[in-house]
Amino acid sequence: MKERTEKNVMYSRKLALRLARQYRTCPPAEFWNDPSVREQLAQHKELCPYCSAGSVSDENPWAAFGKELATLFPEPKVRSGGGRPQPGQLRFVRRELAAWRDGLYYNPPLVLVLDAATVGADDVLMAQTYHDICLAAPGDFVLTERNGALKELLVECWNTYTLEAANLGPSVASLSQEQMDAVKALGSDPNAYPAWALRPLPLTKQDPRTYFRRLEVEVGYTFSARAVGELVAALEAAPLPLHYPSVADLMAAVRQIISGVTWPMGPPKKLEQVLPLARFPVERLPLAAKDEHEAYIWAKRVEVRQGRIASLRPVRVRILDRRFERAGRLVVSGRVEELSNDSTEKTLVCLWVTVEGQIRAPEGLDWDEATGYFAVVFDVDDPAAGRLEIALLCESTEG
Amino acid sequence: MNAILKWLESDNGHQALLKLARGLLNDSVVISLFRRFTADDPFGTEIQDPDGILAELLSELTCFLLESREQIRQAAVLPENDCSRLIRAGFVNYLKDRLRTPGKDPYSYLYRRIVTVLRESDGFFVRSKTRAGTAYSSTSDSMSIPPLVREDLTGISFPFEMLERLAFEEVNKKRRLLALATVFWDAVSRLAGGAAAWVDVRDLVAWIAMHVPLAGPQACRPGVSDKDREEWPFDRLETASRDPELGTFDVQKIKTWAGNMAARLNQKQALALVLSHGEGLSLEQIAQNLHLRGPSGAAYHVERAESVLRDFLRDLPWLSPPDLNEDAFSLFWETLASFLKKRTAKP
Repeated sequence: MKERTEKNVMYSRKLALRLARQYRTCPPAEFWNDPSVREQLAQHKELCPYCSAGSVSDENPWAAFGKELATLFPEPKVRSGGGRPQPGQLRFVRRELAAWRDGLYYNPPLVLVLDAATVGADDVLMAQTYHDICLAAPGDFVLTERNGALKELLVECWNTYTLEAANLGPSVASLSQEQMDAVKALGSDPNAYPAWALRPLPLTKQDPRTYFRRLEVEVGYTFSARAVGELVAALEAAPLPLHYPSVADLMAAVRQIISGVTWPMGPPKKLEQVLPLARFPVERLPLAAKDEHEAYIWAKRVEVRQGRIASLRPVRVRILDRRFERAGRLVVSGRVEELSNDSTEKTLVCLWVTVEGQIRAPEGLDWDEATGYFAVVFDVDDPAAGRLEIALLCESTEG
Repeated sequence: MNAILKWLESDNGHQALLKLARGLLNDSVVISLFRRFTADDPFGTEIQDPDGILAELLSELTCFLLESREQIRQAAVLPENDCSRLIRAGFVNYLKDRLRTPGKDPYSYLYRRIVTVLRESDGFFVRSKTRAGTAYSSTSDSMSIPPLVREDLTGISFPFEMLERLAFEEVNKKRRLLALATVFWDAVSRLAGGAAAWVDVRDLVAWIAMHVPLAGPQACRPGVSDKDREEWPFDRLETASRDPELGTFDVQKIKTWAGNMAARLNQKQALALVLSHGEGLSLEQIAQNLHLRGPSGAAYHVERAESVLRDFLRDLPWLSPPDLNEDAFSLFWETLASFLKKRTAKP
C-alpha cells in the first residue's frame, strides 16, 4: 500500500521558528515610511528573507486599535512604570529600548521578574519569555490557560539577565507562587518538572528549537548588553580597585608576590593592562600541559585588600564559544573555574591581543560573578590571529 | 454588559476592525501564519486576493475579540504600547490554535467519534479540559506535553498493514480506531522520553488525516443525524488541505534569499565558502588565499560560514527539512555561489 504524499495543513516548528525570527528581529511595518532609519532598513532588507519585498504602512495598526479599545473601557490607565517590579510579574521591556544590531531590529521581549533584589537596588533579575509553546524545549516552563490575552507562554528558565527596573513596563499578568517555584527549580535543573507541569519533548537533531534558542540568546544579549554597557561605563568612571600611582608601581607589586612574572610584550601602557598581560613563570602553572588545550586559558586571579594586591595565582578559564560575527565583531564566552563563594566583589578585566601586538579593550562585557560565566565582545579583523587575556580581581568587602 | 460585542456591532467598531485588518496585510508575522491557516501561499508577499483575505481576517479578529473579551478588557488599561503588543501576540496564538483545530467537518466528526470510542473503551483513561480539549492515556498517572507539531507527527510511522485500503470507512471502525490510538500513544510516549503521556485527541486526528483521506462536506450536512453520519459514505478530501509548502517552488524567492544569504557573510567567510565548497580547495590552500597563518584559521572561517548558512536556511520553505526540495536547494546554492564569486573576485 502506497503512503499518501499529501500532507494536511498543520503547524510545524519550522513555521514557528520563521514566525519567531520575524517577531523578534524585523522592524514594525510603520518603520518602512520613516526616513530617519532609511539606512538601517536598507541593511535589514539586504539580509532578511522575510522583508526583502518590504511593506509600507503609515502607522502601527495594533497601536491604533489599542487606542480605540481604550475608549471602550473608562478605567484609569496603569502608569507606564506600574510600581516596583515584584517576583512573578510579567512585564514588557520598554518599547524605546528596541535596538538595531547587525542589520536586525531587536524588538523588546516580555519578561518574567524572578527576583527584584539582586545586584543593586535598581537591578531586576528576569527570565525571557515567548508566546509560542510549540518552541518549548526541556528547561522551559510552559504556561497554558489563564495567562491574560496571550493564552499560552513559555518561560526560558535558562535565559536570565538583569535590567534596570526603570526599563520595564507595567505588569501585564502574574504567576502563582507554585509556578514561580517551578521556574526557579528549572533554572537550576532543566529536568526538575513538577508532576502537574507540561513537559516539553526532548530536542532532536537539527531541531528548529535549537535555532530558536540561539535567537533567544541573541535577544537576551541585546538587552542585557545594554545594561552591561551602562555598568561598564560606570566602571570606567571608577577605575580598578587598586591604589597604585603608576604602571611601574603596579608591576613592582606583582613581582614582589611572584618574582618570575614577566610582560613579554614589554611594559604595558595603561594600569588596567598590567594584570591581564602578566605572564606567570611555567612552574607556577599547576596543569601546564592542559594550558595548551584550545578550550582553556589561564587567567590571573588577584586578591585585593584596601587597594593593594594581597595575592596572585593562576586560575583556569574554560572557553565555551568563539564566534566571529559580521563587521569584525568577535564574541568570546566562557567560564572562570574554581570561583570561590566568598564575600568578595569580583571584577573581570579582559583584553584581546592581536598577533601584531595590538591590545584591544572590549566593546562589551557580560559577567556573572556568581557563576563565573562571561561573554566579551571585541572589534577585531581576524579572530584566529590573537588571544584573550584575563585578570580576575577579587576585592574583599569585609573590614 | 458586553462592551466589545456592542462595539463590534456599531459603525465605529466595524471601521476600527476594518482598519486593523487592512493594516495587518503588512504584518508579516500575522500574514504568514494566516496564509498557512487559510491554506493560501505560506510565504509569499504578494497579495492575490486582498478582499478575500480581508474578509477572513475580519471574521477571525471578531471571533478572537469575543473569545478573549475579558483579557482584552484587562489589556486595554495598559499603556498603548504594551496593550497593542499583548493583543498582537494573543491574536497570533489564537490563529495558531485555530490552525491546530481545523473547523472542517470531517476533522470535527473524527475527533468526536474517537473521543466517544476512547470513553467507552476499557483500555484508556480520558481527560477533558475546557480549553485544552480531550486527551487520553493508558495510565492515569501520566505527564502532560505541549501540542505536537508536524515534525513530531511525520516521525511516527503509520501502520498501513492494519488497513486493507486507504479509505475513511476502513479507519472509522471502533476496533481500528482503538488500534490506531494504541499505536499513536506508544509512539508519543517514546517521543516523550519513554514516560506515559497524555495524548491530545486532536494530534491523533491530525496524524490519521496525514495518511488517510478524510470525509467530504456532506458528512455533516444539517439534518443528518449522528447515527447516519457514522454510516455515511465519505468522499475524498478536497485538495484545499494540501500542504502549501510541498510541490513547486518560487524561483524568484529562492534567488532573493541567496542574495540575503550572501549579505550575511563577511568577506573572509564568503571567500572561505567559495574556496571550500565551490572550488574544493584544502584548508592549507584556503589559508594561503585568505592570508592566514595556518589551516586552523581557515577551518574557523569555513565553519562559521557553514554555521551562518545552516542557521539561515533552517526556517525557509524548500531549503531545509521537512520540505527540502533538491532542485530548489541546487538553484539556491548556484545563485549564492555566483553572488559570492562576483563579490570575492580580484579586480
